Amino acid sequence: MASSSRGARPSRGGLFAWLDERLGLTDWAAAGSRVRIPDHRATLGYHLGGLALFFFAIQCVTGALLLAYYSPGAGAYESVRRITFDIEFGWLVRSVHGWAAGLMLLCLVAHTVSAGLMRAYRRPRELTWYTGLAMLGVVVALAFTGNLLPQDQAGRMAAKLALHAPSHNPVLGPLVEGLLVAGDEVGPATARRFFVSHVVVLPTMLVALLVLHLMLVLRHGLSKPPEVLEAPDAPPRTIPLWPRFLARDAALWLVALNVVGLLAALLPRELGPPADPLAPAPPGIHLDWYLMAPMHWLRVTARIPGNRGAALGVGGLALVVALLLAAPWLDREGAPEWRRKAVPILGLLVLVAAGVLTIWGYLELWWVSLP
Amino acid sequence: MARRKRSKNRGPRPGAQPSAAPVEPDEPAEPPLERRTLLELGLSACGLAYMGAIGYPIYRYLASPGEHAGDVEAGAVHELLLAESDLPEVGAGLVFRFGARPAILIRHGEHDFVCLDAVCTHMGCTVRYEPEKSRIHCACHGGTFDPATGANVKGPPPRPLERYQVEVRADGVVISRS
Repeated sequence: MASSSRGARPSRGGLFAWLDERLGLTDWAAAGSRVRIPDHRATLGYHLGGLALFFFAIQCVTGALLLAYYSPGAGAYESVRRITFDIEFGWLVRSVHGWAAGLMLLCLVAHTVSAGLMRAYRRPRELTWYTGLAMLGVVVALAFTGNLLPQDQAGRMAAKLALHAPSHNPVLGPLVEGLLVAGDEVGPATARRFFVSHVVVLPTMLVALLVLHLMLVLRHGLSKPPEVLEAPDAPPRTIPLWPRFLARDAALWLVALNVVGLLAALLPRELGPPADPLAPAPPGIHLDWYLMAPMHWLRVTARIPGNRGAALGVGGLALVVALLLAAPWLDREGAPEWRRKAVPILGLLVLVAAGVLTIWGYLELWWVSLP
Repeated sequence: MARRKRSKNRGPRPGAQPSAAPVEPDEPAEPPLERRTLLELGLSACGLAYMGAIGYPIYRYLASPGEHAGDVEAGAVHELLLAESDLPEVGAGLVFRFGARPAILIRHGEHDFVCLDAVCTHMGCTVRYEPEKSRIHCACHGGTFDPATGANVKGPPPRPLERYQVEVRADGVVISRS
């Protein structure tokens, strides 16, 4: 409707006209205003991916800054100690990197849940869903590898704990030990591999997946939730990608920037004692919040005596992954009604279980920490 | 209706268009020029403030004295003892670290030493002593210095190499700068 008048901006002369002639800014704006974003009560969900992208940009900047002083290998802890206590504003850069990582993961989890509940994985958006899941996995790996890089005792213990989990598996065990641990003990060699993964391998994978993901989103448009789709008499309202949706995005990013800045300034990242291979596991050792649910699930099921507990633990996690991967197939057009309904119900169940396990895990930690 | 939506979301920031501007008029529904200029000024100021708030810590972080602390301390070295066993043979030179910079000690005779800053005065490359050509040469741009005095004799260097005092003692030589 208003796209033509919006696209044909009055030229401002000078620099804008010069750039416009060469870059085709007006054409881009016109193309952006033709992309329509559904506008309904769940529209906020559409911003979660963009928000995660903004946090990723923060990670790239602060990560590059940290690389200016971080040294992998034997001097890792000392270099992080210097960043935290000696270098001016080093504590801030490190804290922003830590907080933005957590917030990015939170956004991605919320983005996945929102997309899943909108049933956005259905045809023709299966690959968008899969690239999204792959990115979630990559970002979890980024957070996990980053945690070991300071080579403090807590990070080393967490890495040890998680890397030890698959050690009894005949296939995964040797694979993890050979490729990630690099030896029989989590040490400097492991940290070096984690460093390469964290700085080179995983970010590259993330960017590649991201490009594919965004191309697919542009190609297929944003998915609408079922209740909007199922009300054909009221055609869904839409807003243009440019400028309205991106302006909202930008406003949200500004809020996010302030939130990250405040969190980093008020609750800076601490640095624990250096890793000591001889020190016993401290009471209340745990992984970061995003791995609390699967870890506590394994912990709880391991209390069942015999092999059945471990089988239930690993099997349960495998089933969740299988549900995420199979969702587009289970919930496809022409599938029996019960199967299509099963996906959101099972998804909600997993969500509730994850929430319960996370809270349960933290409650147990708190319980253990009591004198 | 479309019009109303438009005027509501003109700017990305809440409060950018405070008094829900006129509803009816079409495109040229511009607020008085003054208000617009004021608004743009305010937004630019905000943007600049953010750029400063982000850019300043980044600059201070990267330019942190922590990184150079070692060099600054080393730069304060004014005297250095080179032990007897470290000294070069007659006719040879020894490059060593004098504070933060390389320096060269040339032994012209048993008790005849010349000590020079080993950084070319042209572009800062480290120079090399070539006894067979009896010159100090900089490979970067072909600058040549006199090994006896440090004088710039050929090429682009604008000044002679700085010369340090050498005091010969029983246990070695002491290099010092004023």
